[in-house]
Amino acid sequence: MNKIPDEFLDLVNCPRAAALTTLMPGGQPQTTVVWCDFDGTYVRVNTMRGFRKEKNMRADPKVMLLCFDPREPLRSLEVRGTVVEMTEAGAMEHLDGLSERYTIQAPSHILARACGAQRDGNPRIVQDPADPCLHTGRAEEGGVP
Amino acid sequence: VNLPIPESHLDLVTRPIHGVLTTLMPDGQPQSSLVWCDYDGECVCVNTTQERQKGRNMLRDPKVSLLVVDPEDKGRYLEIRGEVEAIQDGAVGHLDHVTRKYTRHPQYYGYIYPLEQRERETRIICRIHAKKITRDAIHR
Repeated sequence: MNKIPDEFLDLVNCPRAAALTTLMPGGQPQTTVVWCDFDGTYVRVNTMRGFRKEKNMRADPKVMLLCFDPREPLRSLEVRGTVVEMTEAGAMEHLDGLSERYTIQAPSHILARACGAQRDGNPRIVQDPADPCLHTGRAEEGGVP
Repeated sequence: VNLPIPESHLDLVTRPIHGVLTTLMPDGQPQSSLVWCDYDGECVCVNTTQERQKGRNMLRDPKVSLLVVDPEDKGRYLEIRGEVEAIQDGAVGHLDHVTRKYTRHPQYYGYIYPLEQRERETRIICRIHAKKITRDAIHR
């Protein structure tokens, strides 16, 4: 498993933008904006049972998380890996912690109402040991076309 | 199938905002990178080379997703899932057009990349045929 370089830890700990890609049943990639943080070992995202990305991760744990600041797109962190654990234990607290850090109000009750689904949470993402792909901030001037 | 881009979100692909393009590695592992985007009136286009990882991936498996987030409002975004049509004709001209959109430079080779690099790689325009489009965070 790759270690996330210290100088890029801010990009997994509540970055301004994190794009999580999961795989649809036919292999089609699906990408959404997520909140994420880092527990010292794993990057964690929080979703709900029944959401498309949750079903996708259960069926195929291969994921990609691209963390960046949209105002500073030349600096990014690419975490390619597999989900090692999905758990409901502590998921609500984790979500409320993320909410506090990302917004001024905790929207877990709003999210729960919006989807009417049972909460699930804390899928942990870990870089696959067999795929040592951890890319940090490719710096081509003006972007990476 | 090629779904139209909703007018309400067209600005996300016409303004100089970086998108997240995801392609598939040979073993099916998704791979994402930040890209420049462009809209040709029908499809959202990105420009890369046949030689880069994302180019090789798309030529082998055209399934992609493109996510563009509004830098001023992270809850506002456009996600396009679909398949790429790769076009070589006019790809360098298209790259220069996009370079002018995103930078202060008049062209790509000779300004952003060395001129010699132009002969070492083959540019392609990747037109994304949209099969599914999603928008905006649910809590927005």
